[in-house]
Amino acid sequence: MRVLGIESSCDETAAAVVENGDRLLSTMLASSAAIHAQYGGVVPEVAAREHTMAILPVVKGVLAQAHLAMQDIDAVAVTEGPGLLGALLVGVTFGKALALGLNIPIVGVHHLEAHLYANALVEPLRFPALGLLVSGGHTTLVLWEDHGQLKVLGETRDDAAGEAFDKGARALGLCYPGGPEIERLASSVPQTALSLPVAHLGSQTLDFSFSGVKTATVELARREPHRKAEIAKALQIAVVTALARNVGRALDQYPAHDLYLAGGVTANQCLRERMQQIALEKGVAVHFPPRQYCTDNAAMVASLGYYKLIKGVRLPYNASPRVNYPLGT
Amino acid sequence: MKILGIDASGPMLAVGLVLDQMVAADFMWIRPRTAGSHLVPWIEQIVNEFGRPDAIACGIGPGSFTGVRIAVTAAKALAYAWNIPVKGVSSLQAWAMQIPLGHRALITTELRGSAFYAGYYQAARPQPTPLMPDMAVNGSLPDAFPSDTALYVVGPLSETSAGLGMAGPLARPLTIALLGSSVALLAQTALIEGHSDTAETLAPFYGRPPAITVATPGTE
Repeated sequence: MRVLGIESSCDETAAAVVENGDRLLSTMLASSAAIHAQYGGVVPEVAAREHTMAILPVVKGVLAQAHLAMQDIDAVAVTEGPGLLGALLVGVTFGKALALGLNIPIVGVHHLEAHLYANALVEPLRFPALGLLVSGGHTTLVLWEDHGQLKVLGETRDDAAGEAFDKGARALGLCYPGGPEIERLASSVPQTALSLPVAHLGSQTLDFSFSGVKTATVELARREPHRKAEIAKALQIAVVTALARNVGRALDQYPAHDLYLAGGVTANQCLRERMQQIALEKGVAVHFPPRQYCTDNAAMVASLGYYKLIKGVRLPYNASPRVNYPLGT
Repeated sequence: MKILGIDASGPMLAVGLVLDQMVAADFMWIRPRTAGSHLVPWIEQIVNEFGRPDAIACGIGPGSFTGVRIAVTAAKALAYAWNIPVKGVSSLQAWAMQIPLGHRALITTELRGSAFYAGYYQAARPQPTPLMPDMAVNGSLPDAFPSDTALYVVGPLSETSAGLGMAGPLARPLTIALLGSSVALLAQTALIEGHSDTAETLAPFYGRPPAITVATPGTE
C-alpha cells in the first residue's frame, strides 16, 4: 500500500510517499523558516499563507520524484494535530479534498506519535519500547507498547528542551532555531567551568522542566558576555542531563528493551552519545532516526498513517484539525 | 459545462453547481468559521448527485484569511485530482451577482472593529461592473467613494446605522446571499474561453499583509 503523507502543522510544508509503512519512495519539503527567522519565531498567519501556495508543488514533486502518477497512491495520511490551526487547516483540507478527488481513503495522524515513526523507516519497530520525543515544542517520554498504544510517562511542565536551546541561543546572540547553533558553538570548546541548573522535580517523577535553565542561561549570558561558547556547552550539558536522568529512571521502572528517540533535538550529537551510554548501562537497544527525519517531515506521517489505515482508522470529511491533541488519546 | 462554485470568505459558506448555465444546486449556511468541516462533505454530496464537474470556480477573497485559504486549498487539490480547470474570482464580485439590475451596491465583509473589506459594484449582465477595486478599509471609505449616491449596502456594514451612515445618507441595507452558483456563473465566461488559472497559480487575495509583517510607525 502506497501512502501519501502530508505534514503542515508548523512552518514546514512536507509530502512523502511510503510503501507499507517502512519503504520510503520519496520525500520533499518546503520551509518558511527563513521568513519566520526575521520575526524571531513562527508567525502563524505567515506560515498558513506559505503552506497554501507550497502544498500542491510539494505533493506533485514527491510523486514526480518517485516516478508515480497520482493514481498510484492508495491512501492519504495527514497530520491532524497538534499544531497551529491555520497551518493544520491547509494540510487537512488539501488531504481531504485530494482523497475525495482520487476516491481513496484518508487517515489523520498525531504529529508527535508520527515523529516516533521516523524510526520505522530504518528497521521494523520492536515493542514494548520507551520513546523520547524532544523538539522545539515538546519534551515527552512515552511507554510504547504497540502500534497505536502509547502512554505518556512524563512531559515538560513548562518549556520544551528545544525551546531552552532557542531561548538560550537568542540570549547568546545566535540565530533561530537555536539547537544546531548551540551545538556548533558548544563544540568549539573542549569543556566548560560554568554550570547551569538541572531542575529537580522529585526523585520519582518522569516530568521535565526547562524554564529554570532558560532563565539561568539568560542571566549567565549577561554576567559572562565573553564566555558564550562555554555557556552554550553548559546549557547543552544541563538539557541532556535532565533528559538522560528521566530516561534512566523510566528504563528502571518499565519493561522496555528498546529506546526510540524522535524530534528535532534528537539531531544533537551530545544527546545521542549520552543516550547510547545509558542504553549500554541498562542493556537496551537505542534507536535514532536518520538526522534528516528528526525534524518535521511527511515520511513519518505516511509511515504512521499506514499502520492506522490497516487497522481501519479513517478521517471523516467533516473532521477539523485537532490543535490540542493529547498524545495517547 | 458543469461548474462547481465554492466560497468561504464571508459570513456564509457556499457551494453550488451550475449545469449548462443553469443553477443545479446551492448549499449555503450563514455560519462562519465552519468551512474546515463542511466544505469537503458538501462537495462530496454534490459530486455524488451530479458527478464530477468539468471545472471549478473559487472565491479568492477578500475576506476571512482562513476561510479564503480553505476554499483555495480545496480547489487546488480537486482541480489537480480531477485534472480540470480552475478559476479564481473576487468573492465580493460574486456576492454582487445578486444585486437587482439598475442598482449599485457597496459589498462589505469581515468587519472587525472599524476594519473591513469593501467592493463597490454596478449590477450588470453577465457580471457586475467594479466601480472601485476591492480593498481593505480601515475606519473610513476612500475619498473617491461617492457619499451622495443612492446605493445598497451588503454585508456586516449594513447591519448598523453607523455602518450604513459611512456609505452616505442615501444608503440602504440589502440582504442578499453569496451563493456558490454565483461564483460559478461569474467564472463561467473565463472558463469557457479557456482563461483559467492553474491549480498551482490559483492564489488567495487577502487584501492585507499579515499583521506582524507591517512595521508600526517609528520601528524602522
